[in-house]
Amino acid sequence: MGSNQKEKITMKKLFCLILVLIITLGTFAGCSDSPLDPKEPVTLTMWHNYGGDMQATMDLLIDQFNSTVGKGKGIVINVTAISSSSELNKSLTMIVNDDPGAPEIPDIFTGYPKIGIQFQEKGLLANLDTYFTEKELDAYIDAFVEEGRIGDGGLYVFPIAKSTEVLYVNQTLFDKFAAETGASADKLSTFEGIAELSAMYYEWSGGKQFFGSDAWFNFAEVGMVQLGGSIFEGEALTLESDKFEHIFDTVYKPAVEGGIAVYDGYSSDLSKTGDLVCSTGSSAGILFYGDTITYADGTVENVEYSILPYPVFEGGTKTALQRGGGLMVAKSDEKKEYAAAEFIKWLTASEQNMKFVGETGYLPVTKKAFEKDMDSHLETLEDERIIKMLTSVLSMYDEYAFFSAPTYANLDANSSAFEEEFKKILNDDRAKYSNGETVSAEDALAQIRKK
Amino acid sequence: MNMLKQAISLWQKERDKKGTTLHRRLILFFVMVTVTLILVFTLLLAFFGITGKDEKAVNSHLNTELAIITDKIADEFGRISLGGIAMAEEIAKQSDAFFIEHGITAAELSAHPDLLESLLGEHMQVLISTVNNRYCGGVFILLDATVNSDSETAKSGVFLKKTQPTYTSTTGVDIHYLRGPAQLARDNGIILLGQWKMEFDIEGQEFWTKVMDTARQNPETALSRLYYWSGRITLKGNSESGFLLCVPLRSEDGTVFGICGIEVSDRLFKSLYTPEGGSFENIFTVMAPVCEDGFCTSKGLIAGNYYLTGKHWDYDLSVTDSHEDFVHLSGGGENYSGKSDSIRLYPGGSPYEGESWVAAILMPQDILHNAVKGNSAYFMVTVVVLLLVSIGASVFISKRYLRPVNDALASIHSRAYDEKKDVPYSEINDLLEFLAANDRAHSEEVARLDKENREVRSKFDMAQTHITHLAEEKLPEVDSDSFEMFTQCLRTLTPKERSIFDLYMEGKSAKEILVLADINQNTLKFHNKNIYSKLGVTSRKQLLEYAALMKYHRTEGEK
Repeated sequence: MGSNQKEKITMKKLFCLILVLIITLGTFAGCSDSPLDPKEPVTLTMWHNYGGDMQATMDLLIDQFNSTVGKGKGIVINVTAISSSSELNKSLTMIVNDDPGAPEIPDIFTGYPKIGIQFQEKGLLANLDTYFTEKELDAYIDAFVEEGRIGDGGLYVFPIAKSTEVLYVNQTLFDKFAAETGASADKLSTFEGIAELSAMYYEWSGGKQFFGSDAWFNFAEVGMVQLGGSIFEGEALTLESDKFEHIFDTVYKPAVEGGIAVYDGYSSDLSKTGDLVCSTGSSAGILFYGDTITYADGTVENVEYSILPYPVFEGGTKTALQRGGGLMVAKSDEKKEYAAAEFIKWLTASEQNMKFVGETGYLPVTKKAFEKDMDSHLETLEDERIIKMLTSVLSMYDEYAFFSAPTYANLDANSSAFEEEFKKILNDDRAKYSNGETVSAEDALAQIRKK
Repeated sequence: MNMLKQAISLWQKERDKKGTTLHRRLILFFVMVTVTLILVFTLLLAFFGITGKDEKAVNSHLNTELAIITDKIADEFGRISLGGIAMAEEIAKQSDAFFIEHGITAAELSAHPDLLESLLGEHMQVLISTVNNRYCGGVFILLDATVNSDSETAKSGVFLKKTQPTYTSTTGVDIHYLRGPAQLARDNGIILLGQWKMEFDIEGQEFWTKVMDTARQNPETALSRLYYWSGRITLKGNSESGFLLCVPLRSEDGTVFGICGIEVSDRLFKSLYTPEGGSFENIFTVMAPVCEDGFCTSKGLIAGNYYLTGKHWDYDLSVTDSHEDFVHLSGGGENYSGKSDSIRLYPGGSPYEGESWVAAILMPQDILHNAVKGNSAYFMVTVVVLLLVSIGASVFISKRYLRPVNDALASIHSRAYDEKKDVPYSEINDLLEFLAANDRAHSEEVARLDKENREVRSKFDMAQTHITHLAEEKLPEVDSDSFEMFTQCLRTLTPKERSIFDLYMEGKSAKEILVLADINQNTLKFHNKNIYSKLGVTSRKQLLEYAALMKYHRTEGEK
């Protein structure tokens, strides 16, 4: 081979090397399916209702996400509002009605399907079916996922944590009352029994309230189911049945006479000052009850709470409400929706879900967490209140049927109107009764039916 | 690399042997021209600041962000301070009226725990009004008295929290009750928070002692000079941290009987002071007291789209480098860079005037570094690619340009240029035609000379024949001894004489011999004389006769 040929070959090789280098540099690009870029993170605003003692747990989880998975994938969760669910509902209703002064819709927010349906009907929610595979959804408890399918059947409200309603009993106060009056704790299993005890307690305590409910609409709708009826007729409420009359009558008299509290706030507020012995409310409200009573003179008494299954109307079936909203994602560009779905997947994965459950008293939403992890997790918990709550709720899941309200656009308005009117009628009649005026359950029932 | 060395070595070897080829020289020329043009273009861009670097843009963006944020902070914190002072004056006025009504002095309040709930009830409307009409996380009043005589650190008071800190009465405010007598909350329709407690526990709460002591030590100082901003603090039982504006409550008689104030909560700070960001997603605002060697971020708040939250940022940042463009800080194993400016929270004459605060717009250092660097890497890659493409193009174009020239040269080399008709360059065509014409003229000349040669040879042969005849005729007349001596003495001639003799033998004339032997006439005469003498002849005629005879003999001998 001549030197000229050798030279030509060498030059050709060199040229090829340079060409390969150019092509390699030119085609240097990522191959991931994710639309996210860690160098340009997506910031998602979030509103949630996990305030109070639950806030620390949620903050910790969000910080953990932001500094680990979020940092790696380019997602920042920025919590801009933490309120009670009723307050969030108020703000969300302003948004969905496009009220003047309404805040901007957050990217992720917690809420009930009854709020979700309003957003969905206006095309403001992302269908999460797009971002979850069938296999991924199969990991969640079917009923919880189904509850989040609203409107056109898409998954718009993703389950994050569920709860039911239970009866909170200040055992310390009840024991004192029972010791002196012989009141039987068995009566706490029925609403009729509770009404009877309320009257007794009012007399015994010199005018103190015995029982309260955080949501009188829930009380009525579940009571109707327990008695074999329904408060719903299509997309409206019906209060004409005898069953409803029985429910109303059960609480009317003790409420007007003062044994049952009809209070605008949560029953836990009254419990903290010893102004209530027992109440029905969300099982996730355990942390709001505390373990003390503070009296007006500043003295603090340690008390113990018992968590009992949700009471049942006499002759009714054991039914309780399935509560707990979910996470909704505002309709946005693919990047934001994808990022929100990634966050939801992480937050509801068994490990995180159990951490949240263990600190708050909610129930987990994945099959693995609910069916396998719960028992072993209970042994690791330190907060006696949470252990007591979860034990009681798990036993209810063995014995009770769970009811979810049908989802329709006016449900929220109907339930709010009922709640308001129910309280107003009872409080008005209570005031009249205190002033010595004559009141009657029949008139009150007619009034609420009319409204 | 070896390949490159090998290529260079081959090229040098070839160049030394035969000189550089036309092709290489042309490539070199093209490459030099294009590279020079690209470099000049790049230098011009650099001269006008177009290098792909975004330092100026980043600088300007951060300066704008910082100016906006610091203005907002100064305005809002100023307004909150004024609001706090006004609230303290109103509460003090209401308290003085209450003390008169109940026949006590402010100093005697702690001895009347039964009056505390009533007194706090008097202030509820001021607190509710403040919390309703102002951006804040909450408002509070804290009295130097307690209903709980068993506790030394319990203090009566009210803390109203707002879960939506930027909501005001126009958009609807939900107030929650963190501290205070439960009945007051119920009377005012306020919901108790899960963390509700009746009284404050001021154990370890530095702000309480600091504000109370300072107010007591400065009885003549106006309230407008006595307010204090705490660093980030989480009140016992509160789920949220924040800065607290604390204003002392001073009765008409000068007794300091408590404090009141407004909370700038973590979420309020975040919602008000998150930088716009623009292209910087990781940018965030920090506001913190100034430490000895940096920012006391463990007592500061942050706002922005970053992975940290103020709540969990429990370390300080020390300044590692600061020049007119950017400040660089480090802490908690991370490095941050950005812009900072001091914040003036206190007026002249305030006991806290010496406490400095700072606001900064920061981002992780590597992100700022990359932002400053901009797309200079792409710029450089573009220049390099341009260079490589230019080199490739130079090779291609020069090769294409030279192909006809090389073909023409090859045709000259193989003398086939007469057949080469498709050369696109006129100069080469002219050259080929010229060479073809030259060839034709040369062929004709050769033919002519050949003809002449043949004629001369013919004449020469005839002369030789004639000479032979003459020699045969003269032979009987020649003295054989003289001729014998002549042939014998030939070897005595010198080489020069012999060469001249040989020229005579060839039939050359004297004139021709002068030219051929390159000698003058005298020298020829000298040599002739010697030749005659040595050969024994007396004349040139005799010499030529003997020479012809000798040649005849030699020819006959050969026959």
